[in-house]
Parts: sequence; structure tokens; C-alpha cells
Amino acid sequence: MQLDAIPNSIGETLLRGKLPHGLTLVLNPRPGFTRAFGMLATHYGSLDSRVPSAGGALESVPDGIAHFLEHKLFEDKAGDVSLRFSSRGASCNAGTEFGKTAYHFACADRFEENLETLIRFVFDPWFTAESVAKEQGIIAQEIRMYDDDPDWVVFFNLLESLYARHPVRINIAGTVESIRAITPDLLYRCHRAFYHPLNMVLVAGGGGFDHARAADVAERTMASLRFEGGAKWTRPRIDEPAAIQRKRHEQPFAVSRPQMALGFKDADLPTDPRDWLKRDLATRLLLDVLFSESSPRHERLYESGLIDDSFDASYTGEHDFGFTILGGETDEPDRLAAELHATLAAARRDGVAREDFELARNRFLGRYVRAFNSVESLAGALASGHFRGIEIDDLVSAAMALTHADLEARLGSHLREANSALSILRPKEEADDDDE
Amino acid sequence: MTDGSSEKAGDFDHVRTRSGLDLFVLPTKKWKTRVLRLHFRVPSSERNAARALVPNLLRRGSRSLPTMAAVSRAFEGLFGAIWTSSAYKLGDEQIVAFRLETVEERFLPGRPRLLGPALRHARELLHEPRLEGGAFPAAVFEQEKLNHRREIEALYNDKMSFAFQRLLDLMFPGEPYGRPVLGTVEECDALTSPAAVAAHRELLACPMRAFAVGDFSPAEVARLVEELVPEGSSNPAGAAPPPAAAPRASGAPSSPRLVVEEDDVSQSKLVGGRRVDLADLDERQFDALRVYAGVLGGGFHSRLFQTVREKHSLAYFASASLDRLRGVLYTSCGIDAAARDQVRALVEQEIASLAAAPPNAEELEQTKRLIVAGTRSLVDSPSSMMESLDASFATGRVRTLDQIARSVDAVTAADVHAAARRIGPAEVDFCLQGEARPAGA
Repeated sequence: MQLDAIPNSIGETLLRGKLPHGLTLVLNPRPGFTRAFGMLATHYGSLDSRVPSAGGALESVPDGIAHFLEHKLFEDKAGDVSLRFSSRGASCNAGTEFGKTAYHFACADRFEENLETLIRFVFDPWFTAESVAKEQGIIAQEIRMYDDDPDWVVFFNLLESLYARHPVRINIAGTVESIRAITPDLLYRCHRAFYHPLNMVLVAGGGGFDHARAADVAERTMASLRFEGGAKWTRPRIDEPAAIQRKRHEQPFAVSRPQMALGFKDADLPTDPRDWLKRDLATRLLLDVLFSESSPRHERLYESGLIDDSFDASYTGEHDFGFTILGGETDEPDRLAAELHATLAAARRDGVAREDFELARNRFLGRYVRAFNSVESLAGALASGHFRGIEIDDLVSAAMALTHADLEARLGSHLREANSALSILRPKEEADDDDE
Repeated sequence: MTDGSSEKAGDFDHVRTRSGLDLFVLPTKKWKTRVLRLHFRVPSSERNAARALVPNLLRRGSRSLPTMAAVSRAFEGLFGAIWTSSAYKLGDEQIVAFRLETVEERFLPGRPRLLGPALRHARELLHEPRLEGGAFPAAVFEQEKLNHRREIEALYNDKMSFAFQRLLDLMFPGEPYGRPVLGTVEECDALTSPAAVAAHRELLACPMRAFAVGDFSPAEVARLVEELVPEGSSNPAGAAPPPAAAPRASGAPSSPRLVVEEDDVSQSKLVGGRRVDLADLDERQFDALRVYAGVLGGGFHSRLFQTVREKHSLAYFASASLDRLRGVLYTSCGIDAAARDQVRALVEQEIASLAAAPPNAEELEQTKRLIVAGTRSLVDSPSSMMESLDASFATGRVRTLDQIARSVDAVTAADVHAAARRIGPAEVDFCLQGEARPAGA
């Protein structure tokens, strides 16, 4: 198999090749490392709330099915797949996100066997009514664990407020009720639609393995599998109204003090992946300029006691949605929201200083270099980049091409009160008093 | 710079500086960053709150960097150099740790100088806080005190950590081991600015270990750390304290005390603690205890996970962990309240079964392989390497990762069976309990 180098400014060895049935392989050999890592990811997640039917039309599936499918693939006819990894001293896990589901393992030896197991189990669905029923009990417990996590709850309450129709508002694990409607047949349909090699990427990195031999193992294993039809999944753009669904949502919760999240719904939804990248980076650098600890605006809010170390500012974007979230724990959620709006309005008047912009960009470059320390996080970034159609070094060139005017444009268009919604969790008085 | 005494400590080079500081250096070009950590070690006490507050006060300003924004800007300007702190527990000790990380200069355009300037900032922040009349400025102090109180209270927001702290309160009342690392709300409320200044002095004078991983030479690290912690301001780490003598398992009550606290939680947390007899442990037995905990609850293959989650679908997670410093075995499960007694019985049953008979060959091998692979993999994480070495001083068993892996690999089923006899009866089962809501299955 031909492996081509992926150029990057760090000088890291990154190789890419094409496996049988169209699966993309990316390798990141790291001499001197002990641990090896393998990840097989599909461009499928909680956003994919509809599955193509035989006739091609899209049909709705129960909320949480992508996550349910992720759990269920760990069981096949021979039993529990994770035990096969652990019998070799390897650890394995998986994660479902909005737009991606990734299966991975880490090991200190027997890499090739683990790589083969990874490929085989992800492409080998096996569901029975009994095993689905058992998983419903386990996932119900997982959902209840998330139900007790204030960060998670304030976040999804906010997304339900920002979005009327877009599936980003759906809780990734679904609900105890929605997963009851999941059947083996639905799982098979989702697997057939979204787990085709053309829709997936295999990333392997770390030390203790020979990359050419790993490529051979992957090639042989893929060649032994059969696939019918299938294609790269193109996620349809959702026709989401620009307006905010609900301006404000409040929920009593077992927390020590109120928690708030102020969200801004993005209307800038370009079609070209390079434009999303520019949008994402400009927004992230802008949030850094406005709200990093070095910012006088952050300092003012901190000294006023409205925010503390729990405060965070982040942006999440895909091709047909994007949102900024500002928030954390605070005694006065409404006053903080008003202060944040006032801070943004003042920043629009003052503009973004070139010096602050340069500082944020240098910090971004430092973070970029640091991200190469971890084989796992680099693998995740490579998989996401693959699905978005961007190369890893595009991050650097896009950041270098930004100007402070790009940040000002985002400040002017995106972070507006009209685009915002507020999510609040307030302590239940009684729950607080019981806390010794 | 050094007095010439350089030896190995596990995988690290141990250097003792002229001023008596203990440095542990792992020179490597594997990473894109260089990491320096300082671990200040003090016995856990009612002053935990004061000492945990100190780093938060220090970052609020220094002689030439008078505000938090100026401090942050100084580090951020160095391509996002990181200066952070944390407080955590290691046995009976509270560790206040500071970490400095800079990007390897060769990966950046123009190869800017980063480590030297970052170190100067860090040195100033550690030693020259902004004081007014010998105390932290009143407004800064009051605000950080309030934030610290809220951080202590926020433990409640993470229900698993909260349940564990409640278990420690019940099992080790008043003992250093059981104290919350950030202190209690009462201890925090009682703090004064002079007490915080005293805690700052106490920290800088207490035993300290410094760790460095990256493209350093030991002599260079010695020079850097002496710059960061000047001569005489800190004591050498000294010899490792002997492991605390744990009360004999036989002293524990014969039936576990079940403590239930009703709360508004969707998933109930069931945690349990048992004392482990650490008397006369040789290396093999020390590692056999770890294998025992792994067989019981260390992964997907373990007894607890397979029984409670996979066989009975009663939990999302079920695991066991072992503190070999103090000698405590912990079990934890995330369950529905309706299943509480059934899960308690299943945990009891698995522990009894491992006491009655050695583990089977398959689960033994699987557990050992997982531990060996996990141990060998630590070498790929600078923080894990540093923390693992620091913890090994506390148990008095400083070994290379390879030595640990080999010793674990040599553990037999009979060793694990012997280890099981060191596990005392359940002392406390704590349940943070919500409303019973049977699952949909």
C-alpha cells in the first residue's frame, strides 16, 4: 500500500494511505514511545437523527441511537469484545459526539492483534432482542449519571433553547424513554448506513509497532471483510430558523450555587470547509481576547465577584450550526448575563487591539505545538479534520492568515443579544440544607 | 551546582543540589514541551484550607506583575506558557504542587526564548507576592477566601467525589488521612490574611521535591530550580516517611455500618471502605494487593463489573480501588436506589469469593497484563511519571517502571489469595441515595 506523508510544520511523521473498500488510514509512528494507540472513527453521531431508508428517504430514529449502537458493538457472537482487548493487557473504549463516533484501544504490546480486533468488531454488528434489552438497563443508569451532572444539564438545556429543530439539541445519550424504542432492526439499519469504510477513518500512532506492518495488517483485515453498497454519508443541512427558540430556561438542581450558560447561536454557516475553519478560529481567538485571564474584561468580572475559575468561554461549530457559550458558577446569573452583554457591547465600540490579537494568536500556536504531545488527542484532531476535509496544518495557515478585523467582524455579527439564550440551574433550598 | 551526588530514583536521575534540594530529572527529547513541577509536602491538618488558598493568592499579583491580568499576560505572551497549581492528597500528606510548562522553542517561528523568562516570572510569583503592610491586599484576600469557600462547597456538585468524601468523614473522623484536601468551610471561614501569609511561609519552608521531564540536563535543572527556590528557602525532601501503620483489620467492626443520605440525585452512589492489613508486606505481597484489587474491580473484566453491570445490569459502573499508603480498599457503584441492598450483597459476595478461593488463571493473567501495560505506558506521560515517582517515595518502594512491571508479572494466584486475607470486613457502606426509579429494562 502506498503511504503518503502529510506535511506539517512540526515535522511530525504523519502518513496516509487507502485501505480496501475505501477506508482511509492515517499513521503517526513515534519512536521512543511505549504506548500504541488505534482509533477507528465514523462520521456519525447524535446529529444523525434520521437514517436513509431503502428508498432513499430519511426516516427518524430514536434519540440516543448512535450512542446505543456504540455500546452494542462491543458485544458480538463470541461475547464481550472489551475482554479480548484486556486479555492482551490492552484497554479499549469508545465515545459518541455530535458528529463522530470513535472506538479506540491503547496497548504496550501485541499492537497488530489489537488493531485487527478493532477493525473486526466495529464492522461486525450483532444485536439480539435480549442483548438490546440488557443494554437499555445499563444505558438508563448512564443517562441518570449525566442527569446529575450540572455541566451537562445546563449545556443541553441551553441547546434546547437555542435550537428549535436542529438535532444538536438532542442529548447525545437520549433519554430513558427514547432508548426504550431502540430495536435490533433499527441498530442494523444505522450500522449499514453509517459504518461504511468510505465514511470512516482509521488512525494509529505511538510506539512499539512497525508502521509498515501495521498497514499490512489493516489492509489484510479490510480485504477479508465484505460490504454491500454503502457510501460516504453526506449530512444534510438542517433548515433551522435563525431565531432563538426560547430566551431563557431555569431549572432547580442539586448544586451548591447557581450555574449559568449564556449561549449565542451562529448565523454564519458557510459551505466551504475552509470558511468554517476561519470562522471557528476567528471566534476562538476572539473569545481568548475577550475572556482569557489576561484580559482586563475578565479581570473586571472576576474582581466584581460575578465570575470565578469555573467561568469558561467556548465555541463549537459544524457545517450547519455553531454556538458560543459563556458561563460558569455565579451567585447572580441574570446580573452576570447582563454584564456579559454590556462587556460585548463595549468591546464592539472599542474594537480588538492588534496587540491583543497577536497575543491570542501566539498562544494558539503554542497550544497547537503542545497538542502534538498526546498521540490520542492528535488522533482525534486528525479524524475530525478528515471528516471536515481539512489538513492538520491548515489550522496554522488559517490562524496566520487571520487579522484583527476578522475577529471584529465576528464580534459584530455573532455575539449579539438577539442571538442569545440563557440557561440557569438554581440550588434547591432543601437539598442545600441537607448538605452537612 | 550539585554536590556531585547523583543517583537513580526509579527511572529518574536524582540530583541533590548544594543547598540540599532534591531534584528528579528525566532527560528526553520525546516531548514538544518541557515540564517542571515543584511538590511542597505538608502533613494534612486543619491548615489545609490556608495552604490550598496560597496559590490562588499568589497568582493575584507580584512585585512587577501587580494584577492577575498582568500575571496571565506575562505567561500567555510566551506562546501560552503554563503556570498552574493544584492541591491533592497523598496518604496523610497534603501536596501543594506548582507546574511550569513551556513549548520547545525549536517548534516555533523565530525560536523565541521561553523557558528562561517563564522561570523568572514563576520565581517572582512564588517569592514576591503583592503585599500591603505585610498582608495580602484585603480585597484580594477576601475575594479569594470566598472563592475558596465556594470551591469547597462545589465538591457537592460532583456526586461521586462528594460520596467519597462522606465515606472518608465516616471512616476516618478527625484523622489527617480523612481530611478534605481543600479544608472545610469552617476552616476557610476562620482564615485571616496574616494566617495566609504564614501559610505561604510554611509552604516555602516545608519539604519539597522538584521534578523535570523534557529536553533538560540534570545540571541545567539544578541551576533552574535553585533559581526558582533559592538556597535556604526550602528544606530537602529527606528520607521517605515509613508507611503509616494501619490499624489491624481485625479491629474493624464485624458488620458494616450502612449510612444513607437522601438527596436529589438521579443515580445513587454506593461506596464502601475496608481496612487492609499492611503489616510485614514484602514486595511480592505489595504487588499482589494491587492485582487483587484489579481482579475485584479494575476494569471491564473484573468481578464487580462483570457481576453488577454485565450480569445483573444494576449499575453503569462498578469498581474497586486500593490505597496502599494507608491500607484501604474502596468499592464504588453508580446504581438505582431500588438496587442498593442487592448490589451491596453482590459486592460482598465477590469479596467473599476471592477470600475463599484464588482467582482463576484467566482473570489473574488478564489483570496482570492490564497492570503491566498500564505501568509501562506511564513512560508516555510526563505528569504520570512524576506523580508515580512521588507516590513511590510515600510507600518507601522506589522502583523503575520496568521493575514494577516485572514484580507484578511474577504475582501468582496463591499470592492474590494471600492478599485477599489481608482485606478486612466492610466497615462503612455509604449511599448517596435518590428516589428509586426502576430502569426501563
